[in-house]
Amino acid sequence: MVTQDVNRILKRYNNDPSDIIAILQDVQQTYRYLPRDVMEYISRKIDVPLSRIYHLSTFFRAFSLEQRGKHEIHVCLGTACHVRGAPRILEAFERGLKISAGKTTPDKECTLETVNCVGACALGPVIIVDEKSVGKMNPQKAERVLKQMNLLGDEVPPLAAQPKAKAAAAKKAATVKKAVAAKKAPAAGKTGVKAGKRTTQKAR
Amino acid sequence: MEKIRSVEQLEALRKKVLDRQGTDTRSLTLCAGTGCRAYGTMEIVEALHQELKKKGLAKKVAVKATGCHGFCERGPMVLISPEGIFYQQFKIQDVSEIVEKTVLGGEVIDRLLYRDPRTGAVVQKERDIPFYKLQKRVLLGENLLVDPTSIEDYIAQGGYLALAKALGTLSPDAIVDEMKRSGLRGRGGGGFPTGRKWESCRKAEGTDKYVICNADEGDPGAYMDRSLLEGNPHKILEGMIIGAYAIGAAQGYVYVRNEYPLAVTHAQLAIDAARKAGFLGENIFGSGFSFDVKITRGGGAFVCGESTALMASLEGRPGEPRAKYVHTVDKGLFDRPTNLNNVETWANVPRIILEGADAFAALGTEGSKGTKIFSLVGKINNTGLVEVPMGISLREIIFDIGGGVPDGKKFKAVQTGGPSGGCLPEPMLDLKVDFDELTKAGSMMGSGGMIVMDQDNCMVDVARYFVTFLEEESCGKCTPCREGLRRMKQILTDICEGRGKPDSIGQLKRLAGAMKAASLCELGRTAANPVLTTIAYFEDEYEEHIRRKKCPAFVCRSLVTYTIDPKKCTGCMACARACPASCISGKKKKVHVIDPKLCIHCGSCFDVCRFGAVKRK
Repeated sequence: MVTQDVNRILKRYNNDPSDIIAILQDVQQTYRYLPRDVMEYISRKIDVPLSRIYHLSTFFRAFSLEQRGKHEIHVCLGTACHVRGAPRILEAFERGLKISAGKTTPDKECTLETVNCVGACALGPVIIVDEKSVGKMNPQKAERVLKQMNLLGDEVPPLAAQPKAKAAAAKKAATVKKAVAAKKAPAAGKTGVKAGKRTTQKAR
Repeated sequence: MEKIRSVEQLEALRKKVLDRQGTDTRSLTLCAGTGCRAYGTMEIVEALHQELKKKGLAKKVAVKATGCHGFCERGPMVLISPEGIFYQQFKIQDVSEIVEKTVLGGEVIDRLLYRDPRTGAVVQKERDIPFYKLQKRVLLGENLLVDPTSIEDYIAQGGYLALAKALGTLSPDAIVDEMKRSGLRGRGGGGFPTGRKWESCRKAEGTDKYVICNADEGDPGAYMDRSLLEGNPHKILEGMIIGAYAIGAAQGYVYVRNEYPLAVTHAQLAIDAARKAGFLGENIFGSGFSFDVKITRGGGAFVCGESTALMASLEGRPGEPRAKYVHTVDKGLFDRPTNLNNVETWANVPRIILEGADAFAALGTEGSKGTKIFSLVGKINNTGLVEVPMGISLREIIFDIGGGVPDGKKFKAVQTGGPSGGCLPEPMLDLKVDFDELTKAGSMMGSGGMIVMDQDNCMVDVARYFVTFLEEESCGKCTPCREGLRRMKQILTDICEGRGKPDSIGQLKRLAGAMKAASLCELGRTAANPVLTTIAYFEDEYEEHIRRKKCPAFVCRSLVTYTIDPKKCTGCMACARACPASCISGKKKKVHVIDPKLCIHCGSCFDVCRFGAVKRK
């Protein structure tokens, strides 16, 4: 199975070693990380030293050596989001998920990542939840996002949503729910942040 | 599509498309850039199609989803032609009303029109909105006219006529001369004269030359390259083909950031369509010249925006830069002469060839010609992309076009040039924006990011932000950049957390000097700019942090303490509920108290208190 998938990817690039980054990107999309045996297989097959593949996989942000979670939350830390309070949003997610940025929850449910700018600055601070952008974030909204995704542990105190904000919260929750539902489809592409990724797939 | 071999064939096709489009009495143009898609524009487009079908108007009214219109703050937005009516921030529920009232009845729906936040004036037409009116949208304006997935749309707007002219009537040397005369300078950041770069690459010895389009737009807060590539990919392609002809290259690459999937899709569609039409491939326009283009996705490394690092990455190696005593125009990709330009630079080429260098140089200043696209973001009313002639003042961009700072807050600084740029304070707002003036002020043009900051932003924190960003993105190859940034980050963190020493500023300046003198590439050489400019223009803020251990903007949380004013507290419990550390005690309708030992200084209580009872100092 593994070799079939990988062979298909290699064929796409005619086994060309100069396309190694693109090959690894496709592997990352397929498996949500770069499994060691796949890296070894590619190294033998197209004659690129394993050391170079390892160098590439740790050099570029798009690659991960550990399996990513089922869900991915990317918090944008671009300058525009930073000046609008992005660090506090990231902190709220770190607190809620009990992991630091770049890590995956032990149950492999969710990976928390940062991204250097998704170019949706008008929506800042913005996050990408499973390829869907959620804009105008604040720490309270972050908690609501997590709750809606069922990612909060039991011992976490109840949500800070005030009565007035509840309607808005419900609405937001619905959006996230949709995003989660969309995510349930076969996990195709999981590298980096993909605002508008679904469109890409459609276009293919 | 049949391959086009002559200018006559191209003109004939253009006329045919124009005739066909001319029968559309009415059209709805929606912005479908990445930002507006996040607002749900694609669902709205679908709903519009359905609604028009229901009303039997599907054939009579054209719906066009185009690239970025630039006014990101107000998405989703639609431009209704021929009247030019502009609706903004509307919802999918408004679709049937728009079709019913405006498309069928010709009636304007007042509530969907733009209201100037400063004057309250209601504006009906897009062209009358100050945001658009004061710009000179030579490149961005075309985004509204073409469907990025349709080569015919681009041809209808005069697309590929410049290529036909170049291949049919101009020699490569004449093209290089025209580019030199135009005064176009590289839009990616460096500002190197494009014509001179082309000339060096043309004269470089060796066969198998390459041209590269750098779309690895890594500057956080800048997205003009993405919007051009997404919104008008054929324009960039046409520029590249002309450049390749002038230089003598047979292969081109577009290196796109991995985070821009829509740009990749549109660029790929454009390449496929151009190949079918004969603009790429063998014997283009029957001239004997052959050229093709390939797309490569970046791996998510900021340093790959640097030309030698980008080329290393294209070869399948980690994106580490090399010293440039041998220029890339002589030995670049695969050690062959290579000409690399940024997306916006390539996008300017067709117009220069078609309308001539003089028309292009008519706009701009002595040393910087033409227009430049800026992405105006941060604490600004009209977040978006603005295209203005070089030489316009920062004040005009930020206040007249951008509408100033929101919520009545006070403007503090504008950061230009991305992580390698600098922060400019209020007294410098009358600075004329061009390559040389910005560099003189200690900042730089960069790729055109413009991040506005207000009174609530701490300049030390901003400097620390950029240094942290660059420390993470430094490839680690050379010591001054790798270690210098790490040390700078430590010092800035110390200042932000109340451990600053009287000599901290001196230390930062000395480090900056070493990094500038000894780093391998521009990333390291310019990395200290955000630190140096914030010290130069906001030294008092640094001093406040170091001497008084206070953050005047209340951003550096170790230096801020929160208390509850018993006189103002109503006991509503909002703060206690919001506190993530559960450090606020107090019963309903009783005064609440913050436990300073448990407080993590996050400011959540301050944000939620509606009675001004939470105090910070």
